[in-house]
Amino acid sequence: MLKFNLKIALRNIWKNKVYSSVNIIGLALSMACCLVISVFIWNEWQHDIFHSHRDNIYRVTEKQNQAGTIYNVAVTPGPLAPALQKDFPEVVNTVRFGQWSGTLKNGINTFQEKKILITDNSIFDVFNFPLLKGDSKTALQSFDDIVITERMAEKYFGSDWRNNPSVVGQIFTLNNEHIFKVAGIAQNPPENSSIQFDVLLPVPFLLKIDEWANKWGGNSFHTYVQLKTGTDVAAFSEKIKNQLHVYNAKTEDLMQLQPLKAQYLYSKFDFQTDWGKRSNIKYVKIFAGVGLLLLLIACVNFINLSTARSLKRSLEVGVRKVNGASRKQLIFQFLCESFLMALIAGVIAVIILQLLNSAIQILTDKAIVLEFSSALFGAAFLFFIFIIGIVAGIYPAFVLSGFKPVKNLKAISTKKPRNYIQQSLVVFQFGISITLMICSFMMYRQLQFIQQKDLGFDKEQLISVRLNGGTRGKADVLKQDLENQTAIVSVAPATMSLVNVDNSADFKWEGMQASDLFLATQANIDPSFIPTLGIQLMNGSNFPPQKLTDTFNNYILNETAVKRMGYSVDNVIGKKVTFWGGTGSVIGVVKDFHFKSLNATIEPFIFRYQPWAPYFTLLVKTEEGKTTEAIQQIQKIYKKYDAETPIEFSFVDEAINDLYKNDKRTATIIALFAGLTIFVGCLGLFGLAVFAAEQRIKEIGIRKVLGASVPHIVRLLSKDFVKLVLISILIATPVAYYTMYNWLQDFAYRVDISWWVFGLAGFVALLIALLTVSFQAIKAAVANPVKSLRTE
Amino acid sequence: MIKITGLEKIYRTEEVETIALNKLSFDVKEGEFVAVMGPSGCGKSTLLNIVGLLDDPDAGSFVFNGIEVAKYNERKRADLRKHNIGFVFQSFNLIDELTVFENVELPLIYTGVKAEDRKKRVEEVLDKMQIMHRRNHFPQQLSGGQQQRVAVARAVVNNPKLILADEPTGNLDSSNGNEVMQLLTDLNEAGTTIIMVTHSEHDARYSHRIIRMLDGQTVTENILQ
Repeated sequence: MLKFNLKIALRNIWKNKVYSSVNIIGLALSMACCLVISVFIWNEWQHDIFHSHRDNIYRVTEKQNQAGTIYNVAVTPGPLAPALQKDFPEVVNTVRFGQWSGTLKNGINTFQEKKILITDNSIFDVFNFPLLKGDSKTALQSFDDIVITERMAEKYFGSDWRNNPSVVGQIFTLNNEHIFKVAGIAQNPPENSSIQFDVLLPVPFLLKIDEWANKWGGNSFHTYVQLKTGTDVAAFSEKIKNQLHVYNAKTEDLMQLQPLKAQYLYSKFDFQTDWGKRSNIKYVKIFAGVGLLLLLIACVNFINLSTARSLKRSLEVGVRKVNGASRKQLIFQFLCESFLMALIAGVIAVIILQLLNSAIQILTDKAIVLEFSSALFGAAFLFFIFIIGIVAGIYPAFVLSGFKPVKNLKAISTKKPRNYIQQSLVVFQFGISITLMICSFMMYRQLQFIQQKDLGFDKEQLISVRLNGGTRGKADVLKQDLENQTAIVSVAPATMSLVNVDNSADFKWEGMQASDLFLATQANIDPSFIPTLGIQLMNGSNFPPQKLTDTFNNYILNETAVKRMGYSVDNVIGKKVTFWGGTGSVIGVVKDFHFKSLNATIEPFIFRYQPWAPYFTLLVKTEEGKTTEAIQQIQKIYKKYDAETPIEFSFVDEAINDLYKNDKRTATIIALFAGLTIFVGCLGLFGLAVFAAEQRIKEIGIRKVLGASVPHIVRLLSKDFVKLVLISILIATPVAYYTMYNWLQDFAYRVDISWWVFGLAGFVALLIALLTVSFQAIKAAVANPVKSLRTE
Repeated sequence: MIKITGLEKIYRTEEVETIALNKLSFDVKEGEFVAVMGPSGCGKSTLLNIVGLLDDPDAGSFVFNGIEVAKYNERKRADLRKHNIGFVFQSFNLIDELTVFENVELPLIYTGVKAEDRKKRVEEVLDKMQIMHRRNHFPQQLSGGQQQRVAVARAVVNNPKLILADEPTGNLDSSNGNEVMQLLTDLNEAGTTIIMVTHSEHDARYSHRIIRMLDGQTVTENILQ
């Protein structure tokens, strides 16, 4: 019976080429997208699952109350880990991670390394980061131990390092001052690890050089605990909640636990205290939702086209029933057809994915590997086919198999069948397409707005040069040398580059109430900063030039800080301000500028000018059209002061654009999906139009004989579909409005939701639908009526 | 074999009520060949549908082989139908996607006959209908007469006790029509009961008895032989 059904299904697919192509193309495209999304989601969920103790590992984080606001902070004091292990029997082990970067040197090889973690030896017991060489029991116990990954080993020792018996014990120098010897070579952290590193340095090293690292007042580590199996985590979490206060009476900060399994997708921490590889569950949800919708749209095509064909197939059903087919047998037969169709579409989907693999990787910014040959993929693929076969096939199977043979064996009437389910499904399809279209228009507008918004400073022709190694502390001489170059306009030393600045502290001023306290983001600059960046001074003056030996404090505030103090731009000059323990006068006020992404509102900002404190960055304004030349000049000057440390620089405008990378990616993917849903929806509409024209061929013939014109017939055939698209627009409008309203809430600065966007999306949908349907309608209308009446 | 008493069937639409069968009564004995005649709309096809267990009556009794089946549900009717009744239609009603062989095989598949036996029986009946050489062709590749022979082959492949033929020669020329009528006569002589709806006096003369209908009732009965 199965063989027989499959044979018939194949012949049916071959015979009805329009119907089959519409279904198969739609399903194949949707399945290709869904497969990518499934693999993407699968990869996201697979993060950190390779650690054998994963169910018992938690990160201890803090809830800090700063100036009345609660912040989630991922960093904790250095002494916390040993204290927790000592005081709580539930804690089996602990690991600390501190983040570092620096210039690493071995022999003639010198590289700037950004993925350095300071950690405990227990990393090898708690996590699954095995050593390929060296002893994991002793590595990182001594303050001069260094562990590098196999990737680093290859970089420093060449590809043959595995055969080199003296790799362990090799000497590295960090930042030209700290000497380490290799204690082990670690396997590269897997792609699905949220903890990524190239180099591991021991905690004893940090404790030796930085006394704050071992104080309760310093917050420089991510602290992980491995709990005993079976620990009541909620109870333990409650137990340690106030423990920080026990260790440090000065703090009111609370502790909380974050499961390691949640770290990759559910981390949202303030002050850039979280580091490592992170994603966001929001994107997983968006992609899963959109992928599912696309698949539903393709299934709707299948359902609609199958039921539209019901008149054609009713005769066959009648004959089969008359010849003894039971309803069960017919349902099975129709399901066989839908399974076969889904299988063909699935195979095409896999081929599409093979062909588009690299484009998908660029689009998703992920290494999405489809392991076609794996058993898991095979099983998942067949399950996928089965589900689609059921979803798409079950309704038509029930409808078609339910026909009464008596009715089916009679002649086809000219009466137009009313199928409310079919119509509702078309509305559903177009509703989704139009919603996605409105969303992608709005997202595009918002992203355009962000890119074009005046940030309050001039981000063009601005290069941010990081002062590393030997250049640290030499900002003044570098500035002088650079400003003498032909392609460079001016140079501004600073502690940051104005891209997502997140360094804040308590801000106090004379006459304030205790409850008025707020946090101000800060930067140490020199007098060239404000003119170089084109920040507008509203009142007062810029910093006057100072000598390195001067130690008095002057401050320049932004408008928001002034407003929060309760003053105005005009009356704040001369007021005394206390910040980071120093007290000084406000000498100027600058117009508000954006120092974070436009997702956040502008907060108080304070500029200080303390030339005796180190600058970390030079902001270099270059001559227009001379960027390449300027870069060469910067490299030359940088080398003059540090020939070994590789230069690290970036373009400020690009770095700012990168802040919206995820939003842009989401917008691109949503636009792509909107296009796909419209395309798949139109495939379905085209199929329905073909059937509508076929069903009404006699009616069209009679109307033409009676004098109906071609436009009249086209109108007759298109009218029903246009009505459905209009209803879809009505339904999609509030849904899209609600969705976009919520999405825009993430941006502190956003475009208005304009009504013309809805109108445009509706118009585009209507136009595409009309083009799709009228093609078939015109074909039917210009056909010779004599032929249609005779064949009928 | 068939005993029908006071059978009623009314078709209702929003505006019109049409009485298709009006307290109709008649019997058919096993081995009989009965022709049903009458003008369009007199209820012939409705009668055939009810006798063929494709439709149910609104009132009255229908005893088939000694069992009252008027109140049978769709599933029971289908079961009785597939083991006892074969159909021949004016428009042949062959499935275009199936070959001649597969069309004839269809009733055997639905009654669960094994593949080996199916092949044997289909070949037997195709041979008998002299269309064996066309076994792998599709219906649209055959002439009308050949298509109807396939339809008859399909109707008899399960050895039904009763064959219902609805205008079996309506779409055929006279020579093909005669061939089909001869086939039916042969089947009847072999013991199969046949009820045939026809407009053709010529075809009706192949039967034993003609029932003439008007407005859902029998008006006369002519016994021919």
